[in-house]
Amino acid sequence: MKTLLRNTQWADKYPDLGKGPVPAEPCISPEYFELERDRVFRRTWVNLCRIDDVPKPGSFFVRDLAVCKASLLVIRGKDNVIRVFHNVCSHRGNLVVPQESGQCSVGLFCPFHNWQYNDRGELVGVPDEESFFGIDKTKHGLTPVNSDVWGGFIFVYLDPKPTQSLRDYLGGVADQLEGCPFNEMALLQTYKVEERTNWKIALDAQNEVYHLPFQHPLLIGHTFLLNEKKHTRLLDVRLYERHTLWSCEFVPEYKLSSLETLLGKIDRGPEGLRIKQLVGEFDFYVLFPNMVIILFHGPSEDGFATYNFWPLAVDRTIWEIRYYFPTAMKAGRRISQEFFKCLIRDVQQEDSIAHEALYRGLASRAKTHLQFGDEEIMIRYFHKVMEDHVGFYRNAKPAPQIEASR
Amino acid sequence: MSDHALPAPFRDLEPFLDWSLERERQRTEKREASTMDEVRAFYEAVFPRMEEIVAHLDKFPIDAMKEPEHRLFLLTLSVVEVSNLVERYKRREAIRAVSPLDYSSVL
Repeated sequence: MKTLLRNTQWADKYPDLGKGPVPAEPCISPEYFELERDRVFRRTWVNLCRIDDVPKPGSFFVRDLAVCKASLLVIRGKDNVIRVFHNVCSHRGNLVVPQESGQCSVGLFCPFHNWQYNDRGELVGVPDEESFFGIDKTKHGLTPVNSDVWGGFIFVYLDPKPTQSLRDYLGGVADQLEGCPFNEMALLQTYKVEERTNWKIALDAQNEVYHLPFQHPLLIGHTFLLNEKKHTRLLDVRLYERHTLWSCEFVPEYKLSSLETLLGKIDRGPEGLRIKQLVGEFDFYVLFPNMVIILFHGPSEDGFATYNFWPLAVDRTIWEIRYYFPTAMKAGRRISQEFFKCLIRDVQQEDSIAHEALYRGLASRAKTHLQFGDEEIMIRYFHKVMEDHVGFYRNAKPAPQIEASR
Repeated sequence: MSDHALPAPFRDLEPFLDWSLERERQRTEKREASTMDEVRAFYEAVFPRMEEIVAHLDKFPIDAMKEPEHRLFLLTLSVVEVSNLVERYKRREAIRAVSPLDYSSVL
């Protein structure tokens, strides 16, 4: 065990962050949500999908980025280059690709008047072109969006002038995850969960382990490392320029379920893929603003998961969850993967209740502020980074004064 | 070759073949549509055989199993599907969660 069981330590590591209460208004305010659209989601690198979503030349994937009112087309050209465009026809603005994904062979055809684009987004066909008044097809391709790929993850920056490259934006996270074998693992399952909550509430609720013994007592209440009073303790917290990491160890002697015990005995294949970049046994990165990457250590192999919190409205969010494992060659290993996935899935179904209840509670405005303990410092930091981008209190009105907590 | 649905050593599990379902969504729906007694009966029939089943299945590459082996494999995924309900929650009333049917699994 490497974890120190101290009650407070992270505030000492990051003394400038403060210890006081944090305003709740950003989690429920429609005005704040309107500002987020432009100041956060158009001016940061946002993950859309993975290279696996466009596996072959001509493969395309459409991401509805509702918070920016954008439909984005990710397409792998026959030259194997992945490009992202607004999925909007140059003719009269119709959405060119109505479905979520597919394969472009001859080209992409707008369903409205059959304007045709190739796999590089160039306009190559206009029916009855002679009736138009000199359309220069070379100037009317799909509108490109700044995009880049890191670790197999495809990101976009919607504002036409990114202030930094994706690599610089990811900064210390990219340093820590350099060489992480994301591309050696395959998607096992995707869940999409629509919740009546604000996206930050859902993200915050995932971004700590303090709740595990209380919210998930029967499933994983005693899985993550606990102190002598049975409270969770983090192994490490790292606050990057915008992003965060917390890491945990598992309880060595935790009581396995019958099936888990059995799987430990029968999944006897050769040891699988290991992720050397793991800090502990469960590493949780928040890539600002709305993406999470989780690396986890299993008994016979490691894997990873991603979350994307897609804001639809101030009180509506789609939580997209994906699990990735090394491709199983034998049934025993695949059953172990299924076990881990179903366990965390059932935990998440307990979490969804909380995400919605938290929104309802805060929306009542009975409480103006949130209290964060030392083990929740990464949430405190997330709210600071949000405010740095949104400037709700900086520009709009002064932050409400409140007595600092003792 | 036989026309049995499951491999020879496991034919006694054929009464539970309605749990042999290809997609996670179908397994979740089956769990939700079953009474706790039905879920437990299925789990208690297959779980004690898991070690033997996996030893049999692991003789084959996962993507080249014959139909009876594939059906047996899907049966084990349903054991996983219900294991938290049977082992950890023990009864449905102990669950404090959204409906699993609200979780749309894509694959």
